[in-house]
Amino acid sequence: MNSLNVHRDEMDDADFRAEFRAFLAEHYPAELKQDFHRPFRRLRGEPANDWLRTLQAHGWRAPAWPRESGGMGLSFRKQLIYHEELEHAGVARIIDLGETQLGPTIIKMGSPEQSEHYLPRILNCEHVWCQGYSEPNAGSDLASLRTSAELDGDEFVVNGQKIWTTHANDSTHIFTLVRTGKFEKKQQGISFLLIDLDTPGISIRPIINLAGEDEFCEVFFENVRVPKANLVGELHQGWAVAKALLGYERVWIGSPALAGKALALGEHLVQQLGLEGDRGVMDELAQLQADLHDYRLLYSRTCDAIADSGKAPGPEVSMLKVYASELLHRLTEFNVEVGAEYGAVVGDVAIGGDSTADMQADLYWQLMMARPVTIFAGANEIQRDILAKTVLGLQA
Amino acid sequence: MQEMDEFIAMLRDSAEGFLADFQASPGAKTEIAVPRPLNRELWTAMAELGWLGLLLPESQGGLALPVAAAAELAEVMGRYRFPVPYIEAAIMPAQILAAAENEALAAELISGETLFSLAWQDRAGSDAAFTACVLSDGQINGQKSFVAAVEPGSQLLVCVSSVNGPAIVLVNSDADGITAQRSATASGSFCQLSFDKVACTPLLAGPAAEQALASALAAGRLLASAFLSGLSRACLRDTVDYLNQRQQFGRKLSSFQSVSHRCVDMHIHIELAEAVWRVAAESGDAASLSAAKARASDAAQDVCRQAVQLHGAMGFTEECSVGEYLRLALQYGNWLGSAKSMRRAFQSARTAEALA
Repeated sequence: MNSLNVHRDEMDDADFRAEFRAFLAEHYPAELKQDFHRPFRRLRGEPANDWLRTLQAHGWRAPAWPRESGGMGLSFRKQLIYHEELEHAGVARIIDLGETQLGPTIIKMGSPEQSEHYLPRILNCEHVWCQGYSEPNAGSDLASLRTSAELDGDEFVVNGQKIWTTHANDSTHIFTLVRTGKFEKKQQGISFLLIDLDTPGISIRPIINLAGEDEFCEVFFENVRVPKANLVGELHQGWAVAKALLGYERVWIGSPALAGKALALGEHLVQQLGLEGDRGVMDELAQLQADLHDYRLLYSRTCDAIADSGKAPGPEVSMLKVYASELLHRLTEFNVEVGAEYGAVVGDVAIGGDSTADMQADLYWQLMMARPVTIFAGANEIQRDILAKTVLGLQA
Repeated sequence: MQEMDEFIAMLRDSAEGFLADFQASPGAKTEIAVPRPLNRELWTAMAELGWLGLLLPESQGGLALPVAAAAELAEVMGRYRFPVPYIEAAIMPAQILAAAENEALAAELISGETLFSLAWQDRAGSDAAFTACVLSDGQINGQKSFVAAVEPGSQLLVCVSSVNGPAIVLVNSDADGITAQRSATASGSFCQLSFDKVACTPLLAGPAAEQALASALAAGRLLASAFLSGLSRACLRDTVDYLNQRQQFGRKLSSFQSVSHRCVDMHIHIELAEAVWRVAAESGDAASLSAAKARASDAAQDVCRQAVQLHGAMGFTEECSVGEYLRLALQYGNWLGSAKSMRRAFQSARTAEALA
């Protein structure tokens, strides 16, 4: 049961939307909102945990989790409304992998003891989780991963290296895919293992990205001893455990929210720079406006179909990730291009000659923050392979 | 609502059968640069299916269906690359006759006995309709451009200006004083019409004439979008079939990423087109209708051009069907508003909405 024991899953959709909108207006700190300076703002560390605890205290945490696990038990349709309202209110994104990925995995595949131990600690932010999947030689080709876990009595001994581990330096725990055996198919022999980052033998090195932020890290494991009880699902079956959630991940990554923020920035820039009379610029803008308008309709059509079917998203949702991320690229590129010399600035700049109407923006940051979206969670090339094979029926 | 869904499913089903038979018939093949006369026998068969009076009110003998239902039919027609001016000669004139509340003319349209054609456009790339032709003393003088589906004995619904403002009048296409210059399109022809002291019958005047034309254009744009969406889907499906079967370098063409990834982009483009025309069909608002026509026009021309490339040299021949798809994409993608002009209309509608 969630802390307030409120049953928002049973509310009418419109009432639900209104109540969440009012809650966000009252409780979300104005200084942490997304703006032209940081249109895709993310929270991490303590500000993130503070906000998640506020959500928890008011019964708005973990929308997708069942009520008996402490979540809100929302239908897929209400989860969409929940995300729309976060976007509408300009709430910064939080990469809360404990809530969005590990929790649902434990609920689905974990033991009752694991549920009892981990779920409440995710909800109150005592445990903050990061995801240890990618390795230097296993990115898009994830099944080639080599970090090993060998059983020694009641413990696994883990050796190897993870990379691109987002916010590992803000996290207390990591859920990993590790190799526990070698079989004919490389997807076999992978296991899903939970690891406390305080365990001796772990070291973390942040990597600075093109936006100047240390969002992702390398995580090294040297003879790290992990209790056998931390295995989720069956030994060697970790691939299936991890794969079960990929469809939902692609739906949320496909959200038009980021593109909406980038377009708002672009429209404001055009005004601020007095380009409304430039037919070339206005035609390019019209293309982007139409692209986002049409994509929003496709996104809601696809989500409605998932909600109506009551089934997990199928491979067709790869299309959402591909289009949304590439549209975000084009939007952020437009913003740099219409910015002219402002587009050459690396970092903050006041845009527009009229000092009374100065606009603070960072065109560099938004361009760079859009880059990895076409790469992570399965590069768009991989998504196109999936679509070609499973949706279009193109034969290998 | 559910009743309507079932009706639409039946409509689509019966259309599939009819259109598949037509496509297998010798008359389905289109020719290059030859104006295609309307097949009257086929038109009568379409009348018997109730297609010509789909949108007309029951009081005029029509089926009084919502325009969304007609769009569903147009989508199936697109899938069978149906080279018949259904939108031009049935849907758009019917909107004018419905507004004119003219039962006798509506009955002639519904039965297929008389052909109608809407002569509205003053010049290329523009929605101007009430300036290039002038009505005075019961006669009209001037020109109309890109008039589709003009056949011998057709009734022309001509948009004109008069002392009382805009008007729509009725003229027989065989009347004295009309000269026509005909150009070929995929499904028929366009005529450049000149009127020299042509006697006419008044049908609509003032704001009613403007509103009737607006609803005809809106219906035409929606159906063209649906048609193009269906057309693109079928063209991609045929292309996928070809790629799965054709081998080079000891591999199926479908196994090359440079090929398969292009197909995925075509697919996404089509999914966007379908999502937008369906929303436009339900909501009827100006912004989404313009967006639908822009998207479908772009998607269809892009998909069909790419299909030429993906079929290799075969795609450049008239032996395969890609050319037929592409010609229809050119026709419906550039008539009633090109992608670029529709995107501009979308942008204006959106800005107006934001200010309102």
